[in-house]
Amino acid sequence: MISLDLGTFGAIIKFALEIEGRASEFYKEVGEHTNDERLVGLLGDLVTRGQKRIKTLERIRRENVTEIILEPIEGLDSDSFGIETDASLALDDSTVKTMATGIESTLQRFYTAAARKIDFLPEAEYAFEILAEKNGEFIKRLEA
Amino acid sequence: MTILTVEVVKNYINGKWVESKAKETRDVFNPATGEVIAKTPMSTKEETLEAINAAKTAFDRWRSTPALTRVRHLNRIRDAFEENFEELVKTLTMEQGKAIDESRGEYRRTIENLECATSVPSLQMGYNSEDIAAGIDEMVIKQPLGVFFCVAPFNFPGMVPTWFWPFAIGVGNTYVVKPSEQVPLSQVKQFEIIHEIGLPRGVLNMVHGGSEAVNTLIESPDTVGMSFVGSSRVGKLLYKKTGEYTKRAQVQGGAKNFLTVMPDADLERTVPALITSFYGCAGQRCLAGGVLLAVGDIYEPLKEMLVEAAKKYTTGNGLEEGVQMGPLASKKGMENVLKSIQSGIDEGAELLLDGRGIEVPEYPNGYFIGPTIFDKVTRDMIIAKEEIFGPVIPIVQVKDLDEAIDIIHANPYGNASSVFTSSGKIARDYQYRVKAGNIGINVGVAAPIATFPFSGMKDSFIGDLHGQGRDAVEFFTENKVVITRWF
Repeated sequence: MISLDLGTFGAIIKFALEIEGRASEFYKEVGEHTNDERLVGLLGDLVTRGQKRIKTLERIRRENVTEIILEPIEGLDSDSFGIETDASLALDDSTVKTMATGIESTLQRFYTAAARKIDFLPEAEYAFEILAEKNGEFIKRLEA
Repeated sequence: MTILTVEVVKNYINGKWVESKAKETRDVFNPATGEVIAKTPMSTKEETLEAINAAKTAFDRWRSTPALTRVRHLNRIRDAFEENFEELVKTLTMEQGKAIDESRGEYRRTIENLECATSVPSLQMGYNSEDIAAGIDEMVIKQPLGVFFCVAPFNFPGMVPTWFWPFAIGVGNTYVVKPSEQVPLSQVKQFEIIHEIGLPRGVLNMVHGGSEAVNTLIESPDTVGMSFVGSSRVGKLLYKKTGEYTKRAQVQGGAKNFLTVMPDADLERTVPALITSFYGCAGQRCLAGGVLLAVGDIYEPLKEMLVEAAKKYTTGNGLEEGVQMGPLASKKGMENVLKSIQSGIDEGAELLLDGRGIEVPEYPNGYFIGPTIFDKVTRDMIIAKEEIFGPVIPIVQVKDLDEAIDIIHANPYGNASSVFTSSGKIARDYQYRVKAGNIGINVGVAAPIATFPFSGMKDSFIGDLHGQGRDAVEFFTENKVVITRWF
């Protein structure tokens, strides 16, 4: 993934779409290679969530940009939110859970940081806070 | 994204796409690359009359369509614009140059105009009194009038026509859009979508072109009113002409918007707002900051923070996410801004940040000028008085609010003005005294939303009623008084 200075609202959303897309692909791939029923179910939920999130992010982008407020954003860059999604090696269930927890933690950290930066768009800020909250719920399920 | 394949854009008349028979065309450029991406036909008088005739023919049936039915079409157009949002946005940036988030913001406003116009069934209600004399009742009915048209600008090719036509057809008129010949593709894209909605033929038409088309629209006895957005110079000429032909008219002209920063302003919040105001859309908006009035002690810290923020502002191809400022919309526009910058230097202003000669890798032919800041500007300099329409901040140091307002009022324009302050008293004084139509209090771009009129005063607006909101309903209808008695 190319490093991106997340200095505009659109850049933040684009980055969110990319990492959500990569996370969903990873979850789909590893879900096809595990036999643990509970883990299969959890990964399936993550894939479904990813599809919904992409629609949500596109809607947030469409509905929340008004030309009256397009102030530059500082202090957020994509390098700080890298995720590991290489599913090419045979991964055991424990490694899958560890990687998935890492992805969810990074997503949570990203949405939390981004929410603070876009406080001039309260609807978008709130939506990001909810997304971060839901990442937290999945982390609990992975660690259970 | 889908690239429009037509070389010469077509007119849209009576529900059909029609190739223009015009011999003269004008090139349409991608401002980031300098490439020709389409051509605009300079439609003839005859073609323009066809559009007017189609609108005139459609009027009687359309005005008798129930209001709720009329606005259901607007709802469907609104939904279709939402579904095609990103496609519309990319077309806009490709032809006009603004950063993609700015195009998204423009389309959000476009859609808001459609949403607001669906209030027409309520907004178009009249009023009445019984027994104004014994047994005699009186009422006002707001009636549509016929064929209206707009002459649209190059800086907001998606949004500005929707300040007008949704309200116009919502109340029962029919319409002809004349897009800017410089940026016709956004309207072409919109009309492609509108065509699929199935508005009755002739209700909404589009004619491309230049002065011949505009003159035909004004001179035709079958049109009733004009909405114009562009330069004050051209606006005044057209307003005079519409008067000679007894048309209604609303003319939104140029601007030189003064942004006043008081000593008690919150600079951490003020500076980002100033950056957006001066550099948003590369300064090509009638609500853009035109001059920064730094009052008293705020001058030094403000200047320092402004230069630092401006240096970080990224310039590039607007289609790339993360780019904060795109190119100027045309080569001529860029050259005009460069002349303005030179005039600032020649008149003795100090160039703190020079946006000339900015290099944007991979786009050597784009019309780019980077963020530019002048200091030690005095009120009599050209850059302090005349519209630059580019990403330039002239800083004028003033001693107090009275001096700031004196400078503002000496300017012939009166489109917008903003004050940045923590004092409610100063804010009230400002909104009370300053003669500008759109006032911002701690807001750098005082852009009215669709439910409010897009105001303007002095040379920035000519006419009585503005675009958008309740003003639009008044402009597009006549109050018919009916006095009744029954024997």
